[in-house]
Amino acid sequence: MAELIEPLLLLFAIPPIVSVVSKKWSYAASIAATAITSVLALYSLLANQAPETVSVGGILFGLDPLSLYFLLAGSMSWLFTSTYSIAYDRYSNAVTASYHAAILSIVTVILTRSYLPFLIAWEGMSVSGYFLISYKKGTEKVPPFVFLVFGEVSSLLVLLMFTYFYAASGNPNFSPDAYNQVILFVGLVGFLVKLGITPFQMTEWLPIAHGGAPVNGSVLFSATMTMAALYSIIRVVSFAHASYIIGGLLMTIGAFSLLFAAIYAASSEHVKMLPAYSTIENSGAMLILIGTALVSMDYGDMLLATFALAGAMVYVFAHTVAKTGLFLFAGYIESTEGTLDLTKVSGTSSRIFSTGGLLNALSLSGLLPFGGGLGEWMMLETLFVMVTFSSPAISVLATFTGVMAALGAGITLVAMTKFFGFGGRLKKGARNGRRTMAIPILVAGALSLLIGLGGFFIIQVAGGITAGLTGLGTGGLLTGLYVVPKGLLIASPGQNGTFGVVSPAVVFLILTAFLALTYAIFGRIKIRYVPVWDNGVDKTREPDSFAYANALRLTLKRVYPAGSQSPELEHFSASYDIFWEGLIKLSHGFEKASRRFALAFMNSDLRRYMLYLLIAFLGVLVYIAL
Amino acid sequence: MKNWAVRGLSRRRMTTAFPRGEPESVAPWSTIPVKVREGTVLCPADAIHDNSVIAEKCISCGRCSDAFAPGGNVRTVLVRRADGVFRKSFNIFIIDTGSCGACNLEVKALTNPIYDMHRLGIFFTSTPRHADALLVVGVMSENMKEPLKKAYEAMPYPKLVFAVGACAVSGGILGKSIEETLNADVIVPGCPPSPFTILDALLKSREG
Amino acid sequence: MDDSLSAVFRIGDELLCVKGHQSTSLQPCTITELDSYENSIALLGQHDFPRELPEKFNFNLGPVAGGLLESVKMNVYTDGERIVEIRPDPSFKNRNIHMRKSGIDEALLKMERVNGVYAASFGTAFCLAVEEIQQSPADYDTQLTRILISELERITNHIHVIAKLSEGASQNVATQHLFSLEERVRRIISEYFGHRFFYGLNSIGGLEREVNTNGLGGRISSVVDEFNSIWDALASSRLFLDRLQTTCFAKKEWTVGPVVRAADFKYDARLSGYLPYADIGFEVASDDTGDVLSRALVRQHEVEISSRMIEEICRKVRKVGKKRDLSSDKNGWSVKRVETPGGDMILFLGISGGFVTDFGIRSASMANILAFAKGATSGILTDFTFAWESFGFWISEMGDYI
Repeated sequence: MAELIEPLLLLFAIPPIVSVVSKKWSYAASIAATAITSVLALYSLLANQAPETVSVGGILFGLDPLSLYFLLAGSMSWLFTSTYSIAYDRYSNAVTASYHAAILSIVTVILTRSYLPFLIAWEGMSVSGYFLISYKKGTEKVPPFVFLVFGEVSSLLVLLMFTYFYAASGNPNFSPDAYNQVILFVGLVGFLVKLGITPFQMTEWLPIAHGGAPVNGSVLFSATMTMAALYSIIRVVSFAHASYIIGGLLMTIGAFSLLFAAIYAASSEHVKMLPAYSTIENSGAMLILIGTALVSMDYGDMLLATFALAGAMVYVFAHTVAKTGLFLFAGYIESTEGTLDLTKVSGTSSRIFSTGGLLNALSLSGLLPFGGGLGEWMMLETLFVMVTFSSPAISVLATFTGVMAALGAGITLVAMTKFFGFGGRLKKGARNGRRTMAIPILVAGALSLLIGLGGFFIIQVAGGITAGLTGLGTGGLLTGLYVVPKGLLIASPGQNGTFGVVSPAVVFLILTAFLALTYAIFGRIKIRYVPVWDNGVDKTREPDSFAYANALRLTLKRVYPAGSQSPELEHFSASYDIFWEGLIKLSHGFEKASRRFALAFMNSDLRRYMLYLLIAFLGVLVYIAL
Repeated sequence: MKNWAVRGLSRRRMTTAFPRGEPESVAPWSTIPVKVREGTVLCPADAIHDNSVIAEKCISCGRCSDAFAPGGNVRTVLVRRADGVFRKSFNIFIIDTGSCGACNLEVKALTNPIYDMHRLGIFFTSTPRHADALLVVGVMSENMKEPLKKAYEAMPYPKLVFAVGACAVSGGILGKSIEETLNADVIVPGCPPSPFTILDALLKSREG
Repeated sequence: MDDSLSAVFRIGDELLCVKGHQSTSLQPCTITELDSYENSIALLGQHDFPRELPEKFNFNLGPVAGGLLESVKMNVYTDGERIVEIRPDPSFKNRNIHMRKSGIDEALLKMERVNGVYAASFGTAFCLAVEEIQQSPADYDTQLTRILISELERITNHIHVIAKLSEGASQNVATQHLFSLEERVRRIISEYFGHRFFYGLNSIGGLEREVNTNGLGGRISSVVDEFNSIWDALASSRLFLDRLQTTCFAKKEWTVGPVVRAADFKYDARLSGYLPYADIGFEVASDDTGDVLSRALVRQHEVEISSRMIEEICRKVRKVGKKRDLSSDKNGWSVKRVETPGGDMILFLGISGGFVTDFGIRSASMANILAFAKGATSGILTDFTFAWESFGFWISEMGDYI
């Protein structure tokens, strides 16, 4: 198995090189590389091979179920994106090269087991991302710059943690030890920054959405870079023991991210910002799952931890695939409509595109029998069970997390129905993009459904991953009941036996049966079009996406920055949120303070400079004397 | 609440005996005048020909009082087309194409307890989509042509059009009638027509 | 206030204006002055509203909507529930009535039909203007009868406005009682004056029909007593008052009628004595808050005052005979300010050779519409009905004349 690592890395190194010559062929190479990787990863996962490591030029690489799983999820996403990009990419070769370089960086992050190469690959992600955002002509200077600065902050925090790890263990490779929890948390924050989670969302997602990133780049950020960050968190906590406190913190951060991102997603009218907020919301959910797993592990409830981790795995896969689909959907809207303003999107006549968008949106809104729905169910179940923990603090935390998660999940439905409903409505004679762009969206949507239907299978596969962390496989989470054969029913482990069960396949069958029955009885829907009566004059306005979410905007006035309600602002600037406002204020304050400082101390007054020199001289003297 | 109930009961029955009985109180000059004596008459609305008054044109000004006196008959409507479908329930949409406001009030008066058209199964609707009849008041002003057409088109079949008041019927002394834009099925003369006359028109139009 | 514009009339290429709340003299005025004349329907469309609104959440109410008695379009800008801005567009039912080149008597009939609901006061204003030009004022009894019909008209109109307010607040029993009272007054009017809206009653120099006031005062005062008792019951309903209080403030000195009087400005054209109001105990009703409730209170008070004046007139005048005088051939022009139920109406009339040569009206609705647009702003959408009805607008009187 481990002998595959070198060829894999080489495989992903080919597209960036080819892109110098031909964009089309570089995508072809990327398709080939991701297809091969998907097959290999799936095969290895099924074969349940033991983890192996290999040293290449002094750098340790490894393959285990965890990395294989993320490699599989990533490859699927890149496969769709590269296929889509062949028709989509109208940008320069440098952008294409950055796209491939980013993929290579993510693959390296997943494969490496050494601190230094991890950091380099991590940094590579930020830098290639920066190029993707800023390379397009006419891009504003600030958003890419903000992105880069916070990318560096992320790298710096991770560097801090890794330096400490290295110093503590004396090993340049990942190695288990009892590490300082504070520094571990600081390092995890480094990953969270890259995850673009509350309150860092604007440093990460605003540049991506408002900057010039092409859609395939956006998919990379949204679907797979977040995936890489999550992978990194799981990887680090798998060898550096994290206490329940870190678990609790992750849960809290996750809950806030989930709720706020859901709210801002629902009220966003920006075709790329809305799915970006949805990514934050999903990242929040996954953080909650990881947090609950850590808490349960620390409390010795290994079965619940296993369930939570399995849930995280389902969630990661479902989100990576569906978000890929949804961002491709956004790109399709952008390229056919020429606008990023959801209220101005008129519609499409492509059923493939529309159906694909619907499937992805349904998965992301957390509905069964889709993958997203299964993941969300597992998250909420974990929290329910956790409420019954003996520790009152954990119980309270789980309750609040659960409330926020459930509320957020509900609001997500608004966001997704809005995005799909207004972005993908069918209209005769509307403009269409290329079919090669629409098909990956549909395939991604179908795969999201498949992830839900085959949830039991994914949980089975995740057994290899959970075994590495909790020591338990996932066999105990799968049961059968009545007509459902054993192994097809997913059960959450309560304190006293099974807490709840779900089977997306059964849900799917029931839904299909009802739909078929309805169709059999009523036949095709008949639609009659009549001119609109608008008080005797021509129709003044159509219900648009802005109106759809406005009830939310009004009821939750407080979480929007004061200015966003005022009509002077472009309505989609309402997607700027309070955290962003806070950050801006903070940076303005810092700027003002430093200017004042500069004026006070460096005012070209010669006597002052002499004074500074004297003080410095005295200081040095004192230091030497000591 | 008790207050209102007692007050309501103490007023006893207010509702008119019309259409079974005769109208209790009719404004003389809202009915079509008839010739009672010889005299010189100069009708500003050009409604008098051959010693009789053309109901459609009369604007109830009383300038002919030297020779004419109010007829007192409220049943002066001209029904060109009626439809029995509306016998049990009749929904009416009012459209003001340029009235002075008087016709609007007389039409509105039908809902008060005295005329109480609801007892006869007649109702006003707030959208032409639910309307069986379009009740037009006022002269045809230029800007209202389009809304009038749109309202008519928005109505479901079967449908009737009422021209209420001298303005809508003939243009009176102020402008043009609605006839160029829509064909009226029921003509309700008067300036403004008495509420009894309007009620009579509504009842007759569903005797098809 | 006294040098601010109240009305502007265009005669040929010349702009003439009336200034202040009292004056009836025409002065030349300039385009610059016209620009500062914010109190005009003509300028409503071009009025510089505070900010450019995004094309979001504007919807139109009307021109043809169930809740509106007349055809008027409201462009409402809202962010959900709050009215961010409201721009009424009364141009839909503009009839472009041909006034110029009409014979005097025909013009009088048209004048009555400019706003049928105010036919008595519009007709009176026209007659007064003609009589002034012809220098043959009507006799004292006729003048008192003109007051009589104007005040009857005021009572009917105010009852109607309050009924509409009560209807808006879903006080259905009270509403029906009030509407039946309105009908009762109309029937009394038709009995005594031959027509429910006083059409054809006024004539130059006198009255077209014989009027006998026997018993009128008593019947009206009994109606007004019942109206007052209904009002008292309504005013004891917290539900009703809550909807009216602090809704749609309009404290603008340039408004007219019950609107300006509810804002504690005691402006009333009747004080100027265009008819012998002083002889029958006229007093000005006013209130100081300027909201919908204030306007309703002023109207209610005015109904009482009018009823007292009617009784007084009925005591003084028993019978007035039919009289018409179109013999004069004097030419000239006249400006008349008459207090219609909605407020101060300014009529500019020029006649020559028995025909109308110049004609212009600044009606009460025209004077007040901008105050409504401003007052309704930042209220909530459900207050719209109260705001609109409390002004007692008649779109018919906002038209143009050819």
